Amino acid sequence: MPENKILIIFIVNGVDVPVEVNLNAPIKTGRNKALELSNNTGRPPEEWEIHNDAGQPLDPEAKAGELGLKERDRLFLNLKVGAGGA
Amino acid sequence: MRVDQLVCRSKFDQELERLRSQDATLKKWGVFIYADSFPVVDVVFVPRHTLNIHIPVIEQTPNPIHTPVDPKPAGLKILSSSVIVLSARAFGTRILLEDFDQLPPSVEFLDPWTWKPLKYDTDLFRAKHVDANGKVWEVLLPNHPIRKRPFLCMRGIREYHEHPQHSGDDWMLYRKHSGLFSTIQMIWKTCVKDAVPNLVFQPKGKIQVQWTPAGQS
Repeated sequence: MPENKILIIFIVNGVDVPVEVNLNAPIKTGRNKALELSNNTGRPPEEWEIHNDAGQPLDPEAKAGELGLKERDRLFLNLKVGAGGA
Repeated sequence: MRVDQLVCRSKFDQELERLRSQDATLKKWGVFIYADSFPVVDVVFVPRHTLNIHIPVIEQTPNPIHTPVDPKPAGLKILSSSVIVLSARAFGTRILLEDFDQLPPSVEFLDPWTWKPLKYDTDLFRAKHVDANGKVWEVLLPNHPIRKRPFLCMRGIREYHEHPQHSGDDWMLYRKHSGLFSTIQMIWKTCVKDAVPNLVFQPKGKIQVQWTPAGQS
């Protein structure tokens, strides 16, 4: 794999979706690719949040390199949640 | 059931397989699949946030003018610390996938020792959801108008979509993108990750339990 690319495992509803990500590109490009590969295109990509495995949300505009992502890191994609609480 | 049993069973098996494929992540979160028997999955959550305690301390400021028995009044300071050996109690959830995915998963909170319902006032934490604007919502509510029990009021959960106040937010809009793993992830995020226990000692002897999202204690 080229030096500026890493493989990120996006998890979409429990399914691993490996995507090659450019370290200099916003992580949202990987998100969008993962959604396309997993056939989750019914809702706009912007409605999907990216989290690391500690549950922390990641800025989709941040570059993979800036986020310190490494080969085979796992990121979770979930629809932005509506809550009906108080 | 309204959905053909074979279809439902097939979807249940698929969801379970996906869930088990994420076993390493689940364990890292402290989430354990206790039992699965169509159409139910029982899951135990083991929180690991340590208990934060906050104690008010009155600072006495020495003053040469006043006598030792009549010290100058001082300010109130809050001392905070974490008690490493204490954390929130484990809890169980019974996730029902009857008629999935025509209907979303239903979630009930149960005692993982007896599998009896947990009571809102005495047994349950306060689950939090932090939205994109940083606003904190309390999402574990005491009494569902139809099911008459505590419920997690989050999109993708049956109790949310059944609630009369959310009749305009139809499950069918999200059905393709939600399932058993995303449901469990949501429970973990709101009920474990963002439900940090705090014991607050008030100046007049009252003790309060407060639950805060991660990073906001």
